[in-house]
Amino acid sequence: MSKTMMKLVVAMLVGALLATACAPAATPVPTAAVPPTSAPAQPTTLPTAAPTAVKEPIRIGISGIFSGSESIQGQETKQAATMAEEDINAAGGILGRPLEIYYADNACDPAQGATSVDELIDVDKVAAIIGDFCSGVTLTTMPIIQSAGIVQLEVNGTDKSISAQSGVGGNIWQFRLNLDDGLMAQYFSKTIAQEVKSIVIVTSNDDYGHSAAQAFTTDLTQDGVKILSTEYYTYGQADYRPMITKIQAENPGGLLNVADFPDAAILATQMKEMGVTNLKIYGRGTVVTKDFEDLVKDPTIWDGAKEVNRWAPQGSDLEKRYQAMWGVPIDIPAVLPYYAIFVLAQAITNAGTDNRAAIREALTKLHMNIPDLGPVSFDDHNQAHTDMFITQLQNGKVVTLQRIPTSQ
Amino acid sequence: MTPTAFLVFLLEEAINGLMAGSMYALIVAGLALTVGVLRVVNFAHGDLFMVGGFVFYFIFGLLGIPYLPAALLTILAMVGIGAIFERIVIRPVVGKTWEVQLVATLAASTAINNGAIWLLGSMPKMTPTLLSSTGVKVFGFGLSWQRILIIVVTGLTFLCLHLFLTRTRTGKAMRAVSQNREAAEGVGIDIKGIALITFMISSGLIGLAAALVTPVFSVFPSMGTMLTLKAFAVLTVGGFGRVNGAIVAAIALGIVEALAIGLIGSSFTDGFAFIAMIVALLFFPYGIFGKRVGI
Amino acid sequence: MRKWLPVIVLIAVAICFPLIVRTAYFVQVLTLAGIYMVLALSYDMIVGQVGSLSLAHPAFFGVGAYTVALLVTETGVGVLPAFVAGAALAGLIAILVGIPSFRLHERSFAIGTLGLALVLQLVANNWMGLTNGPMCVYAIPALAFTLPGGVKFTTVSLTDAYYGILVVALGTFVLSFVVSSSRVGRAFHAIKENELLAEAQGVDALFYKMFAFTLGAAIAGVAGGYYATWLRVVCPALMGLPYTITLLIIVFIGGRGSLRGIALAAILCTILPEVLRISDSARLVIYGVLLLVFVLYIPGGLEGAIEGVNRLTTRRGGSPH
Repeated sequence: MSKTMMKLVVAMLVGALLATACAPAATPVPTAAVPPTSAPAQPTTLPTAAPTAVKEPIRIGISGIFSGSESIQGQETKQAATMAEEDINAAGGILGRPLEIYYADNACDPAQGATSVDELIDVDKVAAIIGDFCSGVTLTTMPIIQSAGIVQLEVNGTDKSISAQSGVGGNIWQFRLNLDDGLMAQYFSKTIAQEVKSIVIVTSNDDYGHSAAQAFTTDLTQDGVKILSTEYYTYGQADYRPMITKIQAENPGGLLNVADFPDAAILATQMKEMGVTNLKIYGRGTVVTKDFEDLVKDPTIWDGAKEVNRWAPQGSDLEKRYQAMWGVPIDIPAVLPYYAIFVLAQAITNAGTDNRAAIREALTKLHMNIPDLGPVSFDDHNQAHTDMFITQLQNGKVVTLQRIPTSQ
Repeated sequence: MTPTAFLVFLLEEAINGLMAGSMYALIVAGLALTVGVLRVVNFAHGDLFMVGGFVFYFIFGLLGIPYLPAALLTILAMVGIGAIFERIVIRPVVGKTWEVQLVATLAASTAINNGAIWLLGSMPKMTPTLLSSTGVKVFGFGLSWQRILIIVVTGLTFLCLHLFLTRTRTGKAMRAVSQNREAAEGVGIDIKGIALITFMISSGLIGLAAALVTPVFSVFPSMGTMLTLKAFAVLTVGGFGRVNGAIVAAIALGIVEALAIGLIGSSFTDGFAFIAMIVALLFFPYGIFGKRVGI
Repeated sequence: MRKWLPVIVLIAVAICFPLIVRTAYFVQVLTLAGIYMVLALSYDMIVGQVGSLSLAHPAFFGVGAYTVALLVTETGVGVLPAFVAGAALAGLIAILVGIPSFRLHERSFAIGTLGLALVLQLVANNWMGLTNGPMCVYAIPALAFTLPGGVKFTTVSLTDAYYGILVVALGTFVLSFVVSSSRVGRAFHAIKENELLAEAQGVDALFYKMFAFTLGAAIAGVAGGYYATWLRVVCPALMGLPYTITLLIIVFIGGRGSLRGIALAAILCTILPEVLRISDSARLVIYGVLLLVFVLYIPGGLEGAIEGVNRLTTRRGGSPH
C-alpha cells in the first residue's frame, strides 16, 4: 500500500468526519413547506409575548430511536417535534422565550440510552426530557433522571413497570403520557369476546409484543375466548406462509395481530394470497391506519379489521399540515411526541420558569385538554388517562367507531 | 386433527418450505460461487440482495416500468453494482486471511445497511405485481402465480447454471480456479478476469432473486443481515463453496423451518436454521457433502 | 523505562479524570469504554493471541450479566458471589462449547460460535419464566461494599462506578500481559502462526485453545456482571450481533494481539460514536467505512500505527531503549 494512497485515504477520512460534523443532521426534505394559513390549532392558548430581542431559549430534550432498524419511529418523532417547535415559536415561544429541541439517539439500547440522557442533562442542559420510546431504555434511565432531578415524559414505552415505579412511593420524576396498554387490552377483549369464540394471537418477538400478548391472553380468557395459539414474528420477517398454514389448520374465529403496519401488511397480503380470509381481524399497534392501506394498496385486504388505540385520525388541522409538510400521513409515533411537547410547554408556562423541579411540580397539577387525545392529567403514578379509540378499516378508510374516556 | 388432515397439513408445510427453500437457494447459489471460486467470505451478500430489492422497487415501483423489463434491468444493474463492489471491497481482500475478509465485508455490510437507512429511511416498501396478487387454489391451499413463477424460474436458472459450469469454457475455467488456483494460473487462465466474472454472475443471480422475490414480500434496509447469516449457515452445511451442496442445503433449510414453525411454534424461527446447522456440524464437520474441493 | 512512560501518564490521567471533569456524561461514557476494554481484551485472547475467530463473545458477556442479575434479584445471593458465579458459568459454557467446536474447520468454528450466540440470545428472549424475556430484568441492585479502611464503594455513584471499572480494566490488562509473556502466551502465538508445526513440537493445541477460550469467556462474564450492576437493567439485546460487530471492530482496529492497541481502540470506539452524535444515522455509515479502510489499508491496526510512530521517533543509529 503506497504512501500516497495512505495519505489520500487519511485525507478522505478526515474530510468525511468534518463533513458529518459540520453538516446538519439528515432530515427528510418537506415536500411542500406550507406555512399554516391560520393560526395552528393548539390545545390551549399559550400566553403570547411580543417578540423581543434574543432571549435565553427554553430547551427540551428528546431521547429517541434515531438509528438502527427501528429508526422509522425516530424519523416520525423528529418530524413531529420539528413541527411542534415551529408551531410554538410561531406563536411567540414559551414564556416569551424561543423553544429549542435537542435530540439524542438511544438506538433502543440501554447503555446508549444512559449516555443519551446524560448528554441531554449535562451537555445540552435541557429543562425536561421526552423519552425514551423503548421500555428497557426508560427503565434504565429512570434512576438517572431521578438523581439529576429532571422530568422525563414517556410517550411510547408500554411496560407496566414504568408507571408502577413512578409517582407516589417511587420515582417522582418519571411521567407517562401514552395510555396504559393493560387498560386498552381489558376493554378491547370485551369487544372481541362479543364477536368470536376462539382466536390466534400473532405478535412480535420483543418486549412490546410479549407484554401485549400476555395482557390479552389474560383478559380474553377471562371473557370466554379460547386462545388457540400465540405465534411470534421478528420485525421485517418476510415469510408468514408456514405460520398461516398452521393458523388455517387451527381454524380460529378471529386473529389478533399485535404489530406495526409494515409487518401487518405482509401478513395480511400473504393471508389473502393463501385464501385465508374468513377470520375476523383485530389489531393492536398501527394496523388500522392509512400507512397500512398505503402499503397494502388493496382495500379488500383485511377490510373490517378493528383496532384499539390512543389516537385515531379525525381530519384535524394537524393531520393536514403534517401530510403537507412531510408528504406522509401522521401516525401515533408522531402524534404523541408532538403533543408531549405542548404538555411540557404548558407545564413550563404554568410554572412560570424552566426550573426543573418547578416543571415537575407543575406537571403533577396539570389539567389540560387536547382535542385529538382527550384530557391530560397525571394520576398518583404519574400516568395520564387520555381517551381510547376503537377504529375500523372500512373499504380502505380508517373510521372511528368509538371514543372512550378512561379517566374516571 | 384427523390423521388425513394432519398429513395434508404436513404436506402443505413441506410445500411452503419448498417455496421458501427455492428462494433461499437462489440467493445462496451466488454466495457459493463467490466462496468457491474467489475463496472470499462475503458478509455483505445479504445487503447486496437488499440493494437489489431497492433497485427493483425504484425501477418497477417508482418508475412504473412493466415487470419483465424491470426484472431484466434489475439484473443488469446488479451486475454493474457487483462489478463495482468487487473492485472496491473484494479484490483487495482476495488472498488475505479469511478473518480479514470477514471483517472487511462486515464493514461494507454495516456501511451499506446504515447508508440505506440514512438515505432511504427505515420504511419498508412493497411492490405487488399482477402475478403476486392473483393466484390459484389447490385443494384449499392458495398460492399466487408469482410463487409458481419463482419455482419455475429458479429451476431453469439452476439448469442453466449447471450447463454453464460444465459445458462452457468460462464455466470450466471457473471450476478450475475453484479447485486449484495455482494450477489454473499455471495453464494461463486469467484469474482476475474469472474473479470479476464470477462476482458479476453472483450479483446477477442476486438481481434475479430480488426481482422474483420482492413482489411477494417487502424490502427494507435491515433485511440483509439475517439473510447473510442464514446463507452462511446453509453454505456451512452444504459444504463451503459447493454450489450443488448449497442448493440442496437451502431447500432443506426451507423445509425444516416450515415444518418446525408448523409443528413447534414460531418464536424460535430464526434459531432453527442455526440449531439445525449446529446439529449437522456435529455429525459432519466438513459439511454434508464432505471435503471435496471445488464448485 | 521510557517504554512505560506513556502508559504511566495515561493511567495517571485516567485516575484524575473524574476529579477534573465533573460532568456526569463524560464519566458515564468512559465507564462504558472501560467495560468495552475488558471485553475487547478478553476477546483478543482467543481471536488475537490464539487466532481462532470466535463470534460467541457477547454470549458470555450476557451469561455473566444475566447470572448476576437473576441471582441477586431472585435469590438472596450477594452481589460479589454472584459475580463469581457468572464468571464460572461463562467459563463452563465455554468449555462445553469449545470441546466439540474446536474440532471443526476454522470457518465452521466461526459460524458455529455465531450460531451459539444467536441461539443463546433467543433463549434469553423467549424463556420468559427465567429471564423475563424482552421485558428485561430491571431494578438490579448496585454493587456496593465497604473497602478495608471504611471507604464505601457503590456503583450507584458514577465516580465509584468509573473507578471500579478502571480497576477491573487495569487488572484485565495486566492479566493479559502476564499471560501473553508467559509460556502459555508463547504457546498461543505458536499455534496462531502454524498450528500443525506447533503440534509437531509438542504443543497441545486443543488444550491451549480451550484455555484461551475459557479464560476469555470468564473475564467476559465478569464484565457482564459489572454491566448489570452499573446500568441495573439487563436485556436480551446485549447478546446480539451489534455487540459482536463492535468487538470485532475494536480488535481489528487495535491490532490483533496488541494489548495497548486494543485498549486504545476500545476507548476510541466508545467515544467516537458519542462524538459523532451530531449525525445520528450517518455515524454508523462512517463507522463501517472507517473499519473497511482500516482493515484494507492499515492491517496492523493501531498497533501498526504506534509502531510506525515509534520508529519515526527513535533516532537513526541510536540504540532504542
